[in-house]
Amino acid sequence: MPLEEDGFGLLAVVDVAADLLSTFRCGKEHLDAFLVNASYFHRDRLGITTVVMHRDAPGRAVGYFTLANDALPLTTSEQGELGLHDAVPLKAYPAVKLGRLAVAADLQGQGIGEQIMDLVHGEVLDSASLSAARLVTLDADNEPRVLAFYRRLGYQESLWAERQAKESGPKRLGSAATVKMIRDILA
Amino acid sequence: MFKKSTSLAKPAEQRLSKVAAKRVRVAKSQRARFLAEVKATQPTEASQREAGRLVERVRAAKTAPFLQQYRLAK
Repeated sequence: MPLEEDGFGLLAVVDVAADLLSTFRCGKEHLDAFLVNASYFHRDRLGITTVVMHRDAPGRAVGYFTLANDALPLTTSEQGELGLHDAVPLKAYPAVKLGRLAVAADLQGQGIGEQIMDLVHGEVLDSASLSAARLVTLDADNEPRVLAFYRRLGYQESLWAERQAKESGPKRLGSAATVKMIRDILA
Repeated sequence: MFKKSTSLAKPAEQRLSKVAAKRVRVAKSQRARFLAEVKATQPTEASQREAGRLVERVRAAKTAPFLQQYRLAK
């Protein structure tokens, strides 16, 4: 039976017992391992991880997500073309990076990822947040089903971010493990 | 026998650089289009209603009473 939309609960990773985190399995080892160590990342203020629970799935995490601040810097000519500096000097669009997203393996394929993304978007849109963000960025695993999932939610591949990453990052052989994607939260 | 010709290697390099140049052009135009779309997008009544719904959901999820049993005592 699918989990009800109004039954989700969110806890900061630092508020959750370690044994509950260590039993989480999503089918990708690196994401399971990240959750175990996410509290250090969280405490170092490098990424805030939120554990997703559900009223009808007791004693376990159904998923988690990690957010961090990001920005899309604008070139001088873009600032001019977009006319943003007429009103307020804006050198970058503020963004939030979805660093990690995982759903428990046995609960996948039931729309829970989309429910969690609704919660992520709600978090980004919340005016009670301390900082504004207009864009959501992420590095999606380069797998057809993962890319299709984010496309369905309005994300598009960011060719220019890929290019920048290739130029400034370490040289990679073969196809990329991840694909940079972006979405305007108001679109 | 076949001898590797430098004149054959050059067009291949040129083709590669043409591909790279095209990728740069496509990436630039995609970025310009995306930024123009972001600038043109204003919140509408419907999008604000939807945003309000999502915010309410996330606030309710953070304060769900059943979470108490999982919260570490501090």
